[in-house]
Amino acid sequence: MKHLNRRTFLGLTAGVAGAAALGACSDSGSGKSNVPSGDNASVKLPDAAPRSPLPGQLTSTVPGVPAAYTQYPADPARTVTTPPGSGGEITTMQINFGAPPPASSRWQEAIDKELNARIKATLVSDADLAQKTQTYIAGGDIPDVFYLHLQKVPAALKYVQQGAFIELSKYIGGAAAKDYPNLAALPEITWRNSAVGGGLFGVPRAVPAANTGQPLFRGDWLAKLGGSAPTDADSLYAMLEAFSKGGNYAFGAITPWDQEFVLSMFGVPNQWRQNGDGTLVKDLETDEFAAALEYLAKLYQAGGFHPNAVGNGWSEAQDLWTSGKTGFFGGNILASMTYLRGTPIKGVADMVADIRPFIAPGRTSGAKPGFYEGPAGYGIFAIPSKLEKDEKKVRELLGVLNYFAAPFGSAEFTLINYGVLGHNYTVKDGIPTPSQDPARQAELAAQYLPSPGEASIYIPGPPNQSQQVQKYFEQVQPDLIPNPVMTKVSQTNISKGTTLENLVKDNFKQFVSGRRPLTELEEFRKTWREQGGDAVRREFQDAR
Amino acid sequence: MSLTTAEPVRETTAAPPEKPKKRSRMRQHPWMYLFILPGVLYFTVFQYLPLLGNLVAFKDYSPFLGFSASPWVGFSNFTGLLTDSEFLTALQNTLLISLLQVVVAFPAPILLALLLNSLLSDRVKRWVQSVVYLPHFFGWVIVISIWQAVFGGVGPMAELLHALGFGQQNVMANPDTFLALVTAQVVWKEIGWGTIVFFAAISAIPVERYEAAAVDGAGGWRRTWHVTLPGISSVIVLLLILRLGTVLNVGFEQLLLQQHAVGADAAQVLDTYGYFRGVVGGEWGLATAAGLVKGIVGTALVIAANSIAKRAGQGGLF
Repeated sequence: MKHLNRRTFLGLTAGVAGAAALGACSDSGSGKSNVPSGDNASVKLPDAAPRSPLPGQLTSTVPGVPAAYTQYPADPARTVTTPPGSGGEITTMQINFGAPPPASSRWQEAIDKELNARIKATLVSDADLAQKTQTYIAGGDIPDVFYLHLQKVPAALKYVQQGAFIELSKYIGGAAAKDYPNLAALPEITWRNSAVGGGLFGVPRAVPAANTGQPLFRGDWLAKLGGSAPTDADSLYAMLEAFSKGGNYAFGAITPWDQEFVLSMFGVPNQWRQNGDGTLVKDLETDEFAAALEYLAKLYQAGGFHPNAVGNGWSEAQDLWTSGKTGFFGGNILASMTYLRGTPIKGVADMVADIRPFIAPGRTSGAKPGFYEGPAGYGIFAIPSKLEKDEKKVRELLGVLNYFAAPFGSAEFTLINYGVLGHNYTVKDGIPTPSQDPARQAELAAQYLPSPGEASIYIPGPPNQSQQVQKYFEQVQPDLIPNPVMTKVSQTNISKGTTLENLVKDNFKQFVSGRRPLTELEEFRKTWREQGGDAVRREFQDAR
Repeated sequence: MSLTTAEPVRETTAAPPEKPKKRSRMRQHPWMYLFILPGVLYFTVFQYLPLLGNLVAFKDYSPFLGFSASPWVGFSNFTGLLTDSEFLTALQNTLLISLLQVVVAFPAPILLALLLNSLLSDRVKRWVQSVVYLPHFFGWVIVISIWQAVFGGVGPMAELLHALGFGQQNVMANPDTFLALVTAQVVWKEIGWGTIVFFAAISAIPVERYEAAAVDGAGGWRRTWHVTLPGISSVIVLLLILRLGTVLNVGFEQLLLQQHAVGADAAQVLDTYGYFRGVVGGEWGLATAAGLVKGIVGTALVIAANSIAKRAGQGGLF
């Protein structure tokens, strides 16, 4: 008995200290050429090679607004004639937003055949991205194509700096990009913002620069209130309050992302505001932020948020939205219009007329509204430096990424985004229509590679839909507020960025829900500064 | 652990019998020593070797550079901890929650075991036991979902409070009462499971002692106080010491799942701090230093509890 006790005891204490991951130490060293050393002004971007327009393509006169397509090509053209693969296996790590795909599928078979390769994809859910990025790198065996999202996972930048991934200028910078025409056709702003320290460390996933702050809203609820869109902060408040009656609520969750349009309407800067002398002020330090919090806290007290809003995340908010309980949901025009609008909502008869993106007014009548400009990309696909010596393999992988970057309406684009004709989708009146079978839809889960689908406006249905959505973008684009530190690097932000962001998210909830009185705002700002905020500011100010 | 702990092995004050030479003992019982081997291997591979990983606490560790290429940084991770207000909050929360678990959650099963023992009907006893065991087998995700459904912002509890005129309440998202909530969840989940050992210890107490006490005129309370509790005190001490070894593991999953609702100030403990800084944030050195601090505090607690138990006349563990 005594021995048993002692053994158990030793086991218990030894178990306490096991936080470190000692195993799998990949002493791979750092090839010097892979370490970013310059600044982004000197980056050698791929020479732009735009595609010739398709029939029915509307190119906007406003720079930065994606092209709209009023019809889908009846006979999609091929852009890749020789399969890029060499018949071997290619491993990937990708992000996934929906159900996981089946182990084998007709979609995957068709893709593998066209690539002449066997893609072995590991899909990581959006919520797990930070920890999986870390654990993959800690595990030592980084997949051939590795998804990096340096805004969502700032800590990953450290590994880029240490030379974990190949700098790709030699392959795709300048004129070299002609070998990969689909990569060269990706928007220049997306390429520019994807650069790190003057180097290209991956192929970006293109999205519009206006990619947050325009949620979907219940147009039918507004129609019941008389139908006139709010023209300033006060009339918006009246509308939000009126939405929150009889078991319904304006919002299902409290996050700076869900209420971004309120923050930007009040003139809160996009992350940072740069003063004339180059000094930076963080959004939460501004008077506008305090005013927006006060506005939202008042709305909370008036019942504008679902009772569980404090604890709710994206998926709970989505459940409330589809069950017809909330008036606002989501955050960007295109994803909202294509994916989210396709999900039926309880009590909505006409999805086209009743569910629209909400374009916020200015704070006062006649004032210009503001919207936050994003990096126009959603992560990059990087190639690990262990393959640096194997130029053939690197070219093969870039060829595969080039395949996935096929432009809207091409044969490759159709297979990647819609799947196998007759199995994953059918064509009705010239419109590719996805199968309603969830299992067949799930086959396409591994499609999130550099396809420009999210940077092309194609809304199936009445032909004027795509044009209408392009108009929304044209309305928002001129009022975009840039983020002054977009491509700058701060070492403290790499190590403390996630902690600081969680601190802001936590306090945003506490202040809006009234758990923390607004009189403590200064205290919160002080905590943020001490936790690393001031160091981050200093480093961004000094960064080139 | 066997249930014979009801009769504790007491330290004997008599001189130990002379031990035969080690080697001859091994030759005498070769099979016994072979049986020890898997255990030794397990502890070496899974418990002692990983302890070497604590060296990471003295490095600016990058898993990409690897163990040997990561630079040594001396004690800077530890000074980093001390200047990090979030670490101090996490340490404070960990100690507070630990204290509540020892003071409230640890004695709760003892009380329930005594209560069950006083029930006369065996059928009722068994039925109650089964019902209170059940939550032990639920994962934390399920437990939190159940609590969310009952106590959340749209649950029956919120409606009741609203009807009584307390306004809109969401117990699950209130940082002020979070400590009580966490303790209540642990009690609800583990109380039934915790009774098993105590219940076994109680039933090992000879009935004659109760009879003798009753003959002497002791009532129900006195019998509990003078017969039952002394009868199980050695088990209580043993379990308390073992519990103290892990007391700083205050429910990683339970807190991680609820942190987004109440915020890090209320729900950050050393384990979640290590997770967010290390696995999510990439500050491996800092996170390991936090783990090491926790290990040292936990070891100190166990040693202290052991010597207190010894001084109080109980056996102790070592």
